[in-house]
Amino acid sequence: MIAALAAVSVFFCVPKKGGAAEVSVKGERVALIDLASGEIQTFSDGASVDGNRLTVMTDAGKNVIEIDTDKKAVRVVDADCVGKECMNFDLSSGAIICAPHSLIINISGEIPSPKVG
Amino acid sequence: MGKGRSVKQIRTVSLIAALAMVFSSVSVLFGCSRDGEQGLIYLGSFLSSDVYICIYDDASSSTEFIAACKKTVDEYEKTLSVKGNGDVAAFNDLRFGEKVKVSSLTAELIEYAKTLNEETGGAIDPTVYMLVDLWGFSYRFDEFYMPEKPFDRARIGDALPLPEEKYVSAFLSITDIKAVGVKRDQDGIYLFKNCPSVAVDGTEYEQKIDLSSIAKGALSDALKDIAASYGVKNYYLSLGMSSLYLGEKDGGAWETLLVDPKDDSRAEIGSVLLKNKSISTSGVYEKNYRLEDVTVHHIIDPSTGRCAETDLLSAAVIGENGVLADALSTALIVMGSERAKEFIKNYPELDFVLVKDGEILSTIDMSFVKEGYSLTRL
Repeated sequence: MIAALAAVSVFFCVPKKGGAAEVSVKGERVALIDLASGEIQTFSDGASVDGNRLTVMTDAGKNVIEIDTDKKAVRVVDADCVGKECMNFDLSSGAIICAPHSLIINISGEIPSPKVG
Repeated sequence: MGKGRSVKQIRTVSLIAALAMVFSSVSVLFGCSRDGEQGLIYLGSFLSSDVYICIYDDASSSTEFIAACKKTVDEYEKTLSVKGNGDVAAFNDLRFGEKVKVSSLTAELIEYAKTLNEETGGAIDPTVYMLVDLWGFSYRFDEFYMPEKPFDRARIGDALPLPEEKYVSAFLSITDIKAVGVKRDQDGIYLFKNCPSVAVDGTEYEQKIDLSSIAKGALSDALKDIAASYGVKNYYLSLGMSSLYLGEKDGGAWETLLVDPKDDSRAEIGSVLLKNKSISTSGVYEKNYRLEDVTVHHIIDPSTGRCAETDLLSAAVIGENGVLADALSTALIVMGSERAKEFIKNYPELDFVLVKDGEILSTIDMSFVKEGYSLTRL
């Protein structure tokens, strides 16, 4: 039973490298997207899937993320934050950030690199 | 009730404890430890910019630390915004000859701006606010804009038609930070509006200030001090993605990406390795609109009343002091590359990355440079 629990921990905690986008809110993972297959796993009540779209609802607000399996890219297609900065990107690597919602869509498996400009 | 617990209960509790230990140790092993607040955390909005902190696995980070940061962002916004009724708004409401009591934060920023105004030959001046508003770059234009003031024009697409010359010269005449008086009394610090108002077509306009070209750097300095007091080291701060403070990343430096000013998708032009440093950028691409063949951008030249005519697309300043970096990044754009190259010699302790069309001039090593750009080390 301990072994089973350990195996489950490994499954949840090891970030998949390459072709996966991790969606987190305030550092907690809410969803994992396989960019090749389009499969979306959710880890939170606030995250729900409809086809190739993932909706993330938090106390801070809502973001709707769409996966493009042809381009192996993700983009934010709807957000109720004021600036909607997160909706400007269509990425197959790197990170999309919605700061007011403390949401990161991370496609490189690491904490997003600081960006200035 | 009997004394102590039954043997069966003890075994169950021990088993659960053992499982919990295995689970958490496996989690820690795979880097999922969530002691305190980690990762990306939104701290609030400051002068229309999103402020966030990204904490990299730092055990000193706590709910109290984050709460202290959020409280500071809120205080700075209330004090320094042109909106609401903080110090800046109160100064802006003054008539010529009046004074208002302000906090030491505001007074120090004004004094700093006055010093830099002299050092940069007038390239930076917070009293350009009426010009910023005239050209369409104040907060009134952030979301839904409707013409309401006598000098307002209706938009044509994204662009705003040219303002009338009489308003440009009128608002230029009230642009002068030297006319803001700062005086310390026994009962507090006061700002004085010593600049006479100007009249256009029967309407009086008073001098107004906007500290957004230096205040983000000041806030990043304040947040950096809070992090130091809580012992948080592994993090970075981002204020509107234009003023950053890079702490440490697992004791090392952060690879900091610089955005390509000419690329709409915000792709990178290069990167620098920074540890315990502030970086601030200004760029003509941040806020602008096209009017016929000309790009009108938000960085006003305080000596002409129009957006700066410059060959620089962006300027980044790196140093320990966030306010200085913030102020100088704006000043360098106004100066243009030739004047800037001479000016930066006055600051050997700082680093600079100046971007022109197809060319990057940098005093610091860059980890990569985008194709199509040449790199000149200064």
